Amino acid sequence: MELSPEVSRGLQLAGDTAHIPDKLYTKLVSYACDVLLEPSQCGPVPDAGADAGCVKGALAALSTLFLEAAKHDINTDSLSHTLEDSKFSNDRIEIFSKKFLAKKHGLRALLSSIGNFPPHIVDVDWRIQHYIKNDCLNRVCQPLFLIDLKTEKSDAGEQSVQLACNQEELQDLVGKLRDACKTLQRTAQES
Amino acid sequence: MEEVDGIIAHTLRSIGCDVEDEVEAVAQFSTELVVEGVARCLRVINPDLDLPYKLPPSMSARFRIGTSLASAVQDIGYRGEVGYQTFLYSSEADIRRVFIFLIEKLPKEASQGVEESLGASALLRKSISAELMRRISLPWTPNYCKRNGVCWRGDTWHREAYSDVHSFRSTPLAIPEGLEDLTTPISKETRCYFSKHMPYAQHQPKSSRDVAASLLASNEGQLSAHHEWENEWNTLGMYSRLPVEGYKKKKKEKLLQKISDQISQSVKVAESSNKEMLQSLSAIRTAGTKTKASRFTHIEKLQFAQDEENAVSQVGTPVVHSEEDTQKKREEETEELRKTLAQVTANLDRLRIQSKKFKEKSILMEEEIGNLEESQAAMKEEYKVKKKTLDLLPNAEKNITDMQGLVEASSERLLSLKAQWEKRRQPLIAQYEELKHLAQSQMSESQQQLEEIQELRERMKQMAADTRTKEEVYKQLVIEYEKMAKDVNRSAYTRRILEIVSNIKKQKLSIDQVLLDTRSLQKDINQLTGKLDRTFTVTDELIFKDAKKEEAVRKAYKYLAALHENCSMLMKTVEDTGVIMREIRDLEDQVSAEGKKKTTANLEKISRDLHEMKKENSQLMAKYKKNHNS
Repeated sequence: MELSPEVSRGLQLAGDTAHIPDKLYTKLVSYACDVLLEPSQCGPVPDAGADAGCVKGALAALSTLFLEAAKHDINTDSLSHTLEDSKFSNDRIEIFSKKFLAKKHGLRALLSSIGNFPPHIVDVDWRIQHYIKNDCLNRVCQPLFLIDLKTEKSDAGEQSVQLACNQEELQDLVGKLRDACKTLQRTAQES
Repeated sequence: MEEVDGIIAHTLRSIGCDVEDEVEAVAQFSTELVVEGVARCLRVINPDLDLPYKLPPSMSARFRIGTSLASAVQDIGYRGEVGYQTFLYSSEADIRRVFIFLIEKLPKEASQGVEESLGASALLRKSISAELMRRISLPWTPNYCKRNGVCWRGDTWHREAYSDVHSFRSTPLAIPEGLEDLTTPISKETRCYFSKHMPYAQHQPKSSRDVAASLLASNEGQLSAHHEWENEWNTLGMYSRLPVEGYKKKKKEKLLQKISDQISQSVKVAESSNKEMLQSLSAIRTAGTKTKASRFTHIEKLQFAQDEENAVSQVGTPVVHSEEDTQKKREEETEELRKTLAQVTANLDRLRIQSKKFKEKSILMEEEIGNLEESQAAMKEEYKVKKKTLDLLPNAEKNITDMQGLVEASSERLLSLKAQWEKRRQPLIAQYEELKHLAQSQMSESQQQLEEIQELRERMKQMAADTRTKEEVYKQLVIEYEKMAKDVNRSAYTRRILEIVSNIKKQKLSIDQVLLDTRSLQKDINQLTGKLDRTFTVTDELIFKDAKKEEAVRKAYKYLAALHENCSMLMKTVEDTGVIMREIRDLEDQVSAEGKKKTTANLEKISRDLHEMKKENSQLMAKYKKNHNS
């Protein structure tokens, strides 16, 4: 994990008792984390007892550290090393580490929601049509399977993919999917 | 032997035998434990074997089990002597031998461990399988049951739905800077902006879900800019021998210069191309009137017409003309305007040329003025000198002598001054030389230091990279180590093996020594025997020659023969004694080995068991008779 000099300076600001008093620091740490996870429920910024500019700088640096630490999934040791480099006292390191450990999975889940992914199937509908005739042919009398795959895509919400197939094609599809499942199970049991 | 016993006990415990903690030596093994251990080992080696772990109370069943164990052990390939008595009436050495054989035959779990520690790819594959296993074992949940599309199971989670996912969109963030250091000068206005008007970084992105992306991007951007700067400073900045600020300033100036150069150049190019275009346009225009208008000119005309029409309408004179009329009029107008334009440009060009000429002229004039002024000053000077000489003319004689005196005095002064100057000059020149030398040496020193710094930086980088890779390897090894079975005895084994190897080396050395000794002894003996033989033959011959003449010598010859015979007998006896002694030692060893086999105790046990067998037999006979009679 690497932090830019600007963020390191912001952390020094947050670790300095002259700029941020202890009481405010605790509030700032939990705010810096919660504003990422639950932006709608964390209320106003606690900034009593310090210069608002300092609070802004410290808060931005703390949030960045939370995100970077979650991104690299670093352990408590290296986290406390980083904080020691920014001249944090042991109490402050303890407070930060505790908050980080409690919210690490939430932060990682949040980061996992950023990105572009292929559409995922969430549901399937199907029906059989018995095809009696059409414009060109009278009495076709064949079954036709209609399959509706409901997919989800990032930024686009639900989309459905419709496809029609006959029985052999359907069986082929099912066979291939079954193959995939079996391979998956075999891979899982290798451990 | 203690280590071997310890290993046996440990192995038996690990395959599930109930060995108590205080039992450490094979001598302490009870018959039940021996049977259970052997049976478990056999079951592990060959799971198809059907052997009970516990001895039944009945004697005959016990013997049957003992025999089957013995045959199973022999089936695996045990070469030594083994029978039911090996297990039921155990002797320490036999049991130990059997256990050592069985433990060697046990399937090696350690080999699996070796395969596992193949490296990162194996670990990765394993973790993939573990994760898949975990997910397969989870029940399926419908899509709407997941919060934000993430499936939580305690501390582990995985993403299952993707409706909530959004792409990486970052906003540039403004963050207050320079507040942590009280020495950095920040203007009052900036400070006021920081504390009162700048919004929080977390509130700056339009959508709250872009906060994380923006913060990450800002950190990454600053970091890469920092790296870039560091790189540049290391390669270029250091050799410029400027302080950081100076280098930055110089770079800025250079960039500005470059930008202004580029702009002026492109302006020139644009001007020339503009001129060309205007020329070509006018050419087209004139050509268009002569030849049939091309489509392009037609469109252009139309456009121009429209534009002008607009202009006309904006002026506010809504005159209605027929299209041809207006066109004609317009052409006339343009022609007129063009003419006036040509006139004006011609005028302008002429004027420009004139002004240039005037400027040149004025420069020439100024030069002339300067020349004239110079000549005036020189003339004034001349005039002054001449006036003085004229003033001095009336009493020329006296003045001439005065002048000569003056000249002499001044020349003398000049000489003395020159001498003084030389005096001063010498040390100054020396100092100058010295300083020059010093500066040069400093220069080379600084160069050297620069090179050193560069080298150190390279080394630092390399070291950092090294540490990083080593840390990674360490982490991986720690993970592997944690995954490995915790075999406490492993290190003890290796230590023991090393000790044994060193012992064997020592023993080999001593054996070699003994062999050498024996060989030298043998040599001595051979030499002595040869000497004896030779001496004897010589003496024998001498005395035999004399023996014919004198009686006493004959007697002496007889004595000699007897002495020789006796001596050889004595030798033989000594050798025999040695052989016997060796035999005795062997026998003693055998006796102690037999003694170790607990023969008496085992015999007692056997006789007890025999009693029991007889009792069982008689009981069975009685039962059988009863059954037969009834």
